[in-house]
Amino acid sequence: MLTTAGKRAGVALLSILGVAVLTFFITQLLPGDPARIAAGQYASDEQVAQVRATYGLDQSVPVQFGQYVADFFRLDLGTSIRTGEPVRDELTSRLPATLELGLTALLIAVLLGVGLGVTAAVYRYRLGDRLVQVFVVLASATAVFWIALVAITTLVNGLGVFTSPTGRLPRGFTPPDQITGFYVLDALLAGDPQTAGAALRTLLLPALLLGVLASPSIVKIVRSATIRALESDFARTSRSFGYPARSILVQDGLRNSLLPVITNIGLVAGFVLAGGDVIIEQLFAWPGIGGYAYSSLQENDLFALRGYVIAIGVAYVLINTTLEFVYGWADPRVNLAEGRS
Amino acid sequence: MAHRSRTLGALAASGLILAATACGGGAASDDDGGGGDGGSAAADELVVAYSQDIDTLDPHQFKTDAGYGVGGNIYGTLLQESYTDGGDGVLSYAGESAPFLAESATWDDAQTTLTFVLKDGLTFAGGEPVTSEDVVWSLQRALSDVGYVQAIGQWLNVTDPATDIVATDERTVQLHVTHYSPLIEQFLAFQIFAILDKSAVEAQAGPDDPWGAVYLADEATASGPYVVESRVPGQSMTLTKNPDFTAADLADAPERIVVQSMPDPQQAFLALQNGAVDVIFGMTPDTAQALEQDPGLRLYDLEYSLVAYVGFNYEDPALQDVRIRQALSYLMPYDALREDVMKGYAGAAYGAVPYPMRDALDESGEKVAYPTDVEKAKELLAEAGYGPGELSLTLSVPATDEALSQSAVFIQSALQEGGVNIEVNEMSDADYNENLGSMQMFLDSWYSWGQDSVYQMFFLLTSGVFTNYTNYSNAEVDELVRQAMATTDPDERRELSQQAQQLIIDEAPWAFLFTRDYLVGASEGVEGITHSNDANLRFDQLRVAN
Amino acid sequence: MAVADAGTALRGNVVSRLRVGNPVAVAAFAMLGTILLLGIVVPIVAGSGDVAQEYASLLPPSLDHPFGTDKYGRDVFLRCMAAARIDIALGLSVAVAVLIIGSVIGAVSATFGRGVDAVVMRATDVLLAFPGVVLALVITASLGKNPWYAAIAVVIAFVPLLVRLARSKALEVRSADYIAAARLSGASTWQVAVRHVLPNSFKYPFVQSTLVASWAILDFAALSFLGVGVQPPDAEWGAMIAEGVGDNLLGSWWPSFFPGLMILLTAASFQVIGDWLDRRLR
Repeated sequence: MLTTAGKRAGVALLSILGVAVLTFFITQLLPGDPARIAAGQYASDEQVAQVRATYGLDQSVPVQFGQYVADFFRLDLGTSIRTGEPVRDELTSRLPATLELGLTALLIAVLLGVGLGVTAAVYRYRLGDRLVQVFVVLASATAVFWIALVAITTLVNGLGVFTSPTGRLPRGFTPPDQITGFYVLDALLAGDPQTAGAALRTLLLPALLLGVLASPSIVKIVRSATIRALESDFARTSRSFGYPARSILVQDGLRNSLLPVITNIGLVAGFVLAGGDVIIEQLFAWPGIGGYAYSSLQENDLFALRGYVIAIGVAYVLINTTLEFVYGWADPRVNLAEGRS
Repeated sequence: MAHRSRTLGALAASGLILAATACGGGAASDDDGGGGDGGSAAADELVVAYSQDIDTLDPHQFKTDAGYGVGGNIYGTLLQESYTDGGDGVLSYAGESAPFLAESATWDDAQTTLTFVLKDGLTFAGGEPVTSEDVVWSLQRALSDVGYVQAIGQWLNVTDPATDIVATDERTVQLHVTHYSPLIEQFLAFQIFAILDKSAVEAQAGPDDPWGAVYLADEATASGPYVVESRVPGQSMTLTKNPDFTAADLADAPERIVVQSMPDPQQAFLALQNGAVDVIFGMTPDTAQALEQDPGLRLYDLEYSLVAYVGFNYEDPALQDVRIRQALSYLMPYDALREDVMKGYAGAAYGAVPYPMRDALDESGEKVAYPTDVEKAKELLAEAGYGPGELSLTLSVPATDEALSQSAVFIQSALQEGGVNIEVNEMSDADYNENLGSMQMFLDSWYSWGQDSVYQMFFLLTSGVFTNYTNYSNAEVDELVRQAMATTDPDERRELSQQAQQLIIDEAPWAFLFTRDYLVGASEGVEGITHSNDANLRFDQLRVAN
Repeated sequence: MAVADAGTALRGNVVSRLRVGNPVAVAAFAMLGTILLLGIVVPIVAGSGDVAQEYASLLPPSLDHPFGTDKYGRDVFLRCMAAARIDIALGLSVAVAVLIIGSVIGAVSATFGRGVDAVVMRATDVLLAFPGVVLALVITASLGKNPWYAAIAVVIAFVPLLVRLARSKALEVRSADYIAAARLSGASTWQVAVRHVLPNSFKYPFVQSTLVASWAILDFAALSFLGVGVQPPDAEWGAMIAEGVGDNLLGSWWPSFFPGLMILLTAASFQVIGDWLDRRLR
């Protein structure tokens, strides 16, 4: 067990290093001179050269790479050319917003996925199942930016169900003292249910959109796992012994379907963290790292962009590695060394 | 989306002879006239939305509109633009600068030394006194190589900042210049010449960062009407009234200003509609038009000389032919661009120095240099040796500027009808900026703070200047601009400028498309929008009518 | 099952199973066929109608203009159809490219095992950990604004997923008798991988690739929405939505609504077909 754990940790470390190396060379491809953009349109060539020197961009690529790797091991992601501030600080100050949105969306996706998946399995080939199938197809075929626009025009502007997307709190509320960085939790911890409610209402629409669109793969997995469980000899036996259907469902179907869900969460987390967020954060003026990455890319802010990609990559690897351990702990039959299959 | 018109420094105007030099001790700048009399009170809090986040607070670094918006309100300057209240909620530039942190500004008889005396008892936020030493250091920093403001140094007519800007006592600063220019005073009213707290910055500076660039990027010791209270990165910055500010009366100014980043213009508009924000700075024409249909909102449509143009690169063989450039100019769909793209929030651009720029040839904003005329264009093309469909060109446009990328679609369609094939190349901002100067044809817009004709032509159309993206070069224009910069006589300056403007119109290095208005959306009752030469709001002038 | 005719058997098998009708799947095929047909025919009939600015701007949907006109005075229906061609072509090309690259690498990785397999798995780890949208944005930023460059970016994002699937299925096949027989008859590892493991494990990645087509259309539209897909004035669904966003506020919902609906219908058709294939071929 210990050696497989060590092996898995080694693999995770290798992946993180791979991400770091790939990031360097891919961002190297970007057109344009970051120093020229940082110095501004009006800077003379000497000033541009000076900016280049300040950020080490005048060095050869191998030297830059060496510096980059050395900095990486010191957890130093460099300085943003656009703002002149350390990228690590800028990312950590924005990370809670992304995590709060992402984790809430993930929670919604899992609840919805398990709920609908079990429903579909129980009402297999009947109306309930068909409706769930329709939902799965529609949710996996909808463009997130389109439905977000439709939702904002109808739900925010038309009906006023949700507050206007102006960041993490509606007007008139001040952010709670930072404990977890999650506004809803922090406000509750500070004993301020009003702010917590307001933060939740602001959070809910983008989280719902992301969560609903991320749920189909979970629905599918839960449905088939639950069907398998319900058809298993064990379930049939229990039923013949007269146990009520509900307890069979909960004890057996749910527990068995939970395992594949756990492995699937890794992929869903990737979607929630990186995929939907760049667009959703733009549309909802959500101050997370997705919007940060997008503006960094627009302005060719090399170091900020690299920092973002590394942060996402590391988070992804960590989530998946953790999930594999959880999976192995929940189901000892799984051989950790094999990885997912 | 991102509003990426380029704004550089400042420049001056004819009407501004700081006759107001001795504006009398302490009592300056109470001509604010903020808002509808009687019915207004100091607002508790106003939320102002910008399309981008605040990137840096350093007054000498190039930054986003939101960055300039904040910078102009937390830092004071020696002088300040004075405004007149038109009674319509807009405060218009009154044509002169008034003392601000300075109580007086006086020229000597030879007009080579400008002497400032600071108001008595001024302090930075926190209580440190504002001294002449701070002023000298701040101006020297502006003219140093720490940021882009250096490029404007030559317009202050200061030869060597180290010796020509001197403190003669605690409250007196002298500026020695090579020759008088009325622009100097207008210049010093802009935030690029902000007054900084020398000791606070130097405490954070180091040997490889002598000007404290790292510190000033996100910290500010306010010398202006507002101080930074808090910040949520990527989302908002909250400013509160500076309790230590004594240079002007802030009794009616809003207590708090929240500067909110709203990257999507539609979301910003919706937020204004449901009261989540009070003011949107820099609306798109689409959203401005939608706003006008809402009786609870108000659009401030401010005319500026922010010019949109198609640049023709002189290094391209086909575009070196003046007949081709003129033909292309005759094919541009000027009316469609102003009406369909800009929704009417645009003026005609007569040349590179359009109305309402001072000394512009066009005094009404209605003249067009090359009105749309397909027949004439075809004749010119035939003369130059191109039949229909024989000329193919690439038009580059920055993708994030919605008005420009929409214009490109109309231009492509119109030129097609005139027999010229256009391939549109939408580029990311970074890619576009990097390639300025080497693109065949490009759509761009430019605004010169201060709206001065000579300044505009110098940066965009004189030989060898790095912001001359068309590589246009005309010795006569160069000489006229040089003379205009050297003269101290406003009439002669206007004469020289207008000669150069005419030469540029004749040679058509650009297709002069239109001027863009700045569009400020506000909730009904929000007044005191400054129509300033640096296109910035003065937050302390905002009022809410009851 | 004999070694030599494994592929033929698979084909016969597939064809007979596919014959069984399913109303939902038939509807999906019909929908996709109609969109594709219109996408090919309409632009031919209408000529350059998709980019011509010949009508009044922002006309609501009517008999003359079933989807209305956009702010440039172009027919939204014609543009949606012109876009169908590029979007579907792109979705299918990405799916085919991902299928070929993914299943070959997966089969080879599984057959060779050990070192090769380890390298391939680590490479997919790294690529999966790389945020897809940003990767695509960086690639298109460096190559230039062109739909096929965006397609390359989408392919790179999906290949690792298919490699993993193909590999796990190939691992199951690898231990089958006929593979052992092929090895014994002296086939090289390459031959075993390409001639035997690949054909026999191919159907799972094949089913998956239908879903990839659907995701590719969504991802490409998202990239276009962010402004890196096609050059104006060319029509593309995501870019059309981005163009029409502002019109929504003035009550003109149609320029952005219909392209979104087209994405939904097309992507949903691919999803339904994929699910159906999945059930049929299992």
